[in-house]
Amino acid sequence: MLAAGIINFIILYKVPEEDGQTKKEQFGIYSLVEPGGIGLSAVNAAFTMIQGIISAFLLPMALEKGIGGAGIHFTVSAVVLVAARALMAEYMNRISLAQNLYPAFVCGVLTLVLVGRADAQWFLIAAAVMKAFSHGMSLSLRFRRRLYGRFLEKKEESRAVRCT
Amino acid sequence: MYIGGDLGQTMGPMLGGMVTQYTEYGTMYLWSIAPLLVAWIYFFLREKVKTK
Repeated sequence: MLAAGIINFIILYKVPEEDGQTKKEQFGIYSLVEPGGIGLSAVNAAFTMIQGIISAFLLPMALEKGIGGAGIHFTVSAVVLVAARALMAEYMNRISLAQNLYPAFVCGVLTLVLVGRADAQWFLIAAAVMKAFSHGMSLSLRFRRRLYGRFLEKKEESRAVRCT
Repeated sequence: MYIGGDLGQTMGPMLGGMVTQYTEYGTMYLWSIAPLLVAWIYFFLREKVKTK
């Protein structure tokens, strides 16, 4: 029912015009996907892929290699993520997207190398720290601002064109 | 951006599962550096074009 309600809202949503009349918002693939953001979305997909792969296969890998206490990886990752975001948020929002993402790429690669070569628990703990930094930096406000900023500008332009 | 994030989280384990049929988990993790490197190169080129 919730899904039906959301679909109904999307299809029947009417944008109020300045003269008091309403106009039906055109519904199409471009109202769901912002073409200019597909590239950055793919970059985000590469980062979340790390999360998915590690969540799915870390424990079977630890069992196969005989590494005990692999669950600590997720605890350390969560704690470091919260702490790093709380402590570094202000700084990360001041630097550029590239300055955020290049260290995130390095941390992401290090995460996968550490997990791939892991034969003791400390590898997994180090990987958790790297993963938290990678994830935290890849989802900075800059990323969203770059996407939404462009999206909102476009929306404003189209609205201005409709009003004139 | 969020669709990309969800796709990555969905496709990652699927592709990882396919790779682990032929190799070990550790090797699969090392292979999964490849998409990240592709994204890195893409982002690098994108920033380079943007700054020109």
